[in-house]
Amino acid sequence: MAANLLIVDDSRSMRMVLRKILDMSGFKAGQYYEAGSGQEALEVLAQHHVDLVMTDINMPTMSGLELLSKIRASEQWGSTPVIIISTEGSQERREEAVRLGAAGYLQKPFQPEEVREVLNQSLGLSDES
Amino acid sequence: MNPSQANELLGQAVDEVLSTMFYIFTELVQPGPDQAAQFGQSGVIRVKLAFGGPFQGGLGVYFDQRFGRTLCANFLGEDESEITEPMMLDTAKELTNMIGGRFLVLLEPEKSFLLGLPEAEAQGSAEEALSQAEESLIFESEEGQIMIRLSLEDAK
Repeated sequence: MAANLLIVDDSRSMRMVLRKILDMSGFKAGQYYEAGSGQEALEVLAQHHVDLVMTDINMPTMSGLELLSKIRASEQWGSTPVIIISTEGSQERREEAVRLGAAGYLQKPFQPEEVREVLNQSLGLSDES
Repeated sequence: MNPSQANELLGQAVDEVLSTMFYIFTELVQPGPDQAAQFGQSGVIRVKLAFGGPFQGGLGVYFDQRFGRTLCANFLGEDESEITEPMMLDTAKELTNMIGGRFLVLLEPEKSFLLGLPEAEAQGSAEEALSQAEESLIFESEEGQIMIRLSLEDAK
């Protein structure tokens, strides 16, 4: 099954790079959706079927962790896996993300293999998927 | 944390970020007599990033637009002729964010920091960049130079 992914980052460049890295990693995505803010992400989720959300933490107006909390609180998308992407990689921050219900955590800079591994784990797929 | 230890960690962060995400390999150099030429030819891109937490401070990152174009093209996998100023600024902010985040993890792996949102400008002053040179780290690559000034203060 090819998974539909929603990439959330206020940096357009980072959204482009993530898509390229996902393609390079060999991950087979179905549809890619993009959002430049947490609010836009909630609108995409309301309109499309999304299997996994990848969100940056450090965004203006709504942080990635706030978006994660909103998704977890939703009856409709509460079980959608969310991967947090951040330049911040402290143990404290990772634990906070897990406590809020993140399925995975990626710290920038990252290699394509790491991205694929975290995606597959979050979707419950084997690494050959 | 003394300044030379902090600078060593910053150098490690710059090296990891530039080589992994931008395919640029640098070495640390001293400001030379031709330093002005590095920042005077195609306009200076300047990015500022503040942080708080166990340590507070910030980064000032400077490089010229020629280097910025290469950096952006490498990051996005696009041809340099396709790169626009907004793309360069967006990439410059992302670069600074990654360097700042990586540096802080190396500095205090267990503790959380609050990273601000980076602010970038494309028409930074070459004079300002040069005035920071003595107190900055300068990284040289085949593609050009990047200069970074770190300010760091123990918040405890």
